[in-house]
Amino acid sequence: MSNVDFDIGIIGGGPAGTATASYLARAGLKCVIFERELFPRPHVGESLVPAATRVFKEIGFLDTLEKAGFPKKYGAAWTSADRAPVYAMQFEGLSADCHVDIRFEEREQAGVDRNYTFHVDRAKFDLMLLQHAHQLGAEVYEGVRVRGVDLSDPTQPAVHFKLGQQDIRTRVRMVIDASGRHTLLGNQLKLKVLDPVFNQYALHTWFEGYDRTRLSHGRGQPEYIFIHFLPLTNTWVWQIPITETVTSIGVVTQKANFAKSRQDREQFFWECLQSRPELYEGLRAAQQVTPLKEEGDYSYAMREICGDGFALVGDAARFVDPIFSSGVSIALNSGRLISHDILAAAEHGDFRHDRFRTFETLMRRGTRNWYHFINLYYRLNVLFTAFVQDPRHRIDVLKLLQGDMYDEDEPAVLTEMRRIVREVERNDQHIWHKYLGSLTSSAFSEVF
Amino acid sequence: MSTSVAIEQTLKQYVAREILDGKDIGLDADTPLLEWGVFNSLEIARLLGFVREHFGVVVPLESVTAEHFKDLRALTALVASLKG
Repeated sequence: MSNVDFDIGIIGGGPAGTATASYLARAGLKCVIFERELFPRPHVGESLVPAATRVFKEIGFLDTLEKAGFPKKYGAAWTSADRAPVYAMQFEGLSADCHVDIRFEEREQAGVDRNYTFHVDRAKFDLMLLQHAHQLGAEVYEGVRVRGVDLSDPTQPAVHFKLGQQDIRTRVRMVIDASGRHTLLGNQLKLKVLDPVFNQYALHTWFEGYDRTRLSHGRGQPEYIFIHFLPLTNTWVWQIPITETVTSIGVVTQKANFAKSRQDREQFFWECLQSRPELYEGLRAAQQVTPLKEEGDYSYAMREICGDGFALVGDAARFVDPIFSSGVSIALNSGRLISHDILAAAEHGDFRHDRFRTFETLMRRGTRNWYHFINLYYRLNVLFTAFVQDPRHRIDVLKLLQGDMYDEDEPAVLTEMRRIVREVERNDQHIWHKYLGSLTSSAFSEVF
Repeated sequence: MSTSVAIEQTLKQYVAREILDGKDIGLDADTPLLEWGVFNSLEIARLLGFVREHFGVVVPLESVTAEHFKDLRALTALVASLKG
C-alpha cells in the first residue's frame, strides 16, 4: 500500500467513472479521477432508463438528482407514418400515423422505488455526479489528459499524464478505464473491434419552443421520450425533453445513407426530417439553439473488458446503439458491478483478472442480450411493436427497456423474437417479409 | 355459417372503426386490404391483439401471411378455423 499513490486510478469523469469512484470511495478506498475536460461540458446521451435509479440510491445521489429539476421520464413512445396507397386516396381525416407507448410503472423493478426516471442535460448532470464522487472522498483532476497506462507490472499500474511541461506517473493498485468513446485502454491494448453490422451515424441538436405533443396522437405525453421512425432504412429520430422548453432532437441513420446523399450535414438533417412532415414543420417553427453535432464510428466491442490490474466500464467497454437510451444506465451499472468485485479484491490485496469474473460474466451477458435485442429490433421493427402490444410479451420487453438485462443468460422473449424473425425471413409470403431491415441474421453470430 | 358471418361483421367493424377512423371506403369482404395498405405493418400488430381479446384465439405470428390477410374473407376463414 505504501508504495502506491492511490488504490484506484479512474480515467474519465463521466457517469461510469464517477459511479465507480462513488461506490469505492464510500467504502474507504482511495480513488483518483482523471478527467480530460473541464466540467461542465456538453455530452450526448440525455435520456435515462430506470435501472439507473438503483445506482443513484446506492451511492446516495438520488436526493440531489430529485432536487435538480430535470424533466421526469415516465415512459417511451414510438411513432411511424405509413405511405400506403389507401392513405393517398384522400379519404377525409384518414391518418396513417401509428403510435405505441409504454409506461415504466407497468412493471415492478427490483431496487427501483419510483415510476419514472429522468431526462438530463448531461453538462449539468455529469458535473453533479463528479462533485458527488468528490464529496465522497475521491480526488478529482480535471483538465488532465491521460497519455497511457503502464501495465508492465500489473500489481502496480502507473497512469501517465502531463501537467504543464512535467511528465507525471501516478502509481495505483488498479486502473479503471471510463474514458468513454475515447476508449483509451482499449486502444492502447488493441482490444477494440469495430462492429461490422451496425454502422450507424447520428446528427443531433437542441430546439427551443418545439411542441413535443405534436406527434403524440392526442395523448399529450410531453415528458416521454419519443422515437419517430422515418421511412428510410434503419433511420429514426429521438425527441428528448431537456427543460420545459428545450428539446433534444437527433437523427440516427446508417452511415451509408449519409455518405450516399452527398449533402452537407445541415441539408441531410433537414431532408431526413422532411419525410415526416408534421415533425418537420414543428421543428421549423421552433428555434435551433445549438449547432448540429455528429457522432460516427458507432459501434464497437472489446476482446477483453478486464485483466490483471485493469477493467473497462461504460462506453469504454462497449457501445452498440442509442436506440433504447441505455448508455448511462449501462455505465452506472458497470460501475456498480466492478466496484463489488474491486472491494472483494482489495480485501485480499489481489487485483488479478480472476477477481473480476463476476463483473465480466454479468457485463458480457447483459451486453450480449442487449446486442441481440437491438439487432432484432432493427431487423424487424414491427415485431418489437407487436410484442409490446401483446400482453403475453409486453412485460418481458418492458423489462429490457427498463435496463434489466443482466440476470438471465438469454431472456425467453428474445428467443421467441428470434424464432419469428427466422420464420419471416424464410417465408416471402409473410406480410412482414418486406419490412425486414437490412441487417442480416448473421448479425446474431457476434464474435464475443 | 352464421358464425362466419358474425366474425366477418366484427372484423369489418374493427377495421372501419380502428384503422380507417370511421371513414367509408366501401369496405367489403373482397376489398384488397393488403394491396391498398389498409393493413400496414403496425396495424397488423394491433389487429392480432384485437382478435386475441375478442375471439380468444391466438394467431400464430408465422400465419401472418398474404394468403390469410389479403381481405376480410380470408381473415374470417382464418379466425373461424382457429376457433375450431
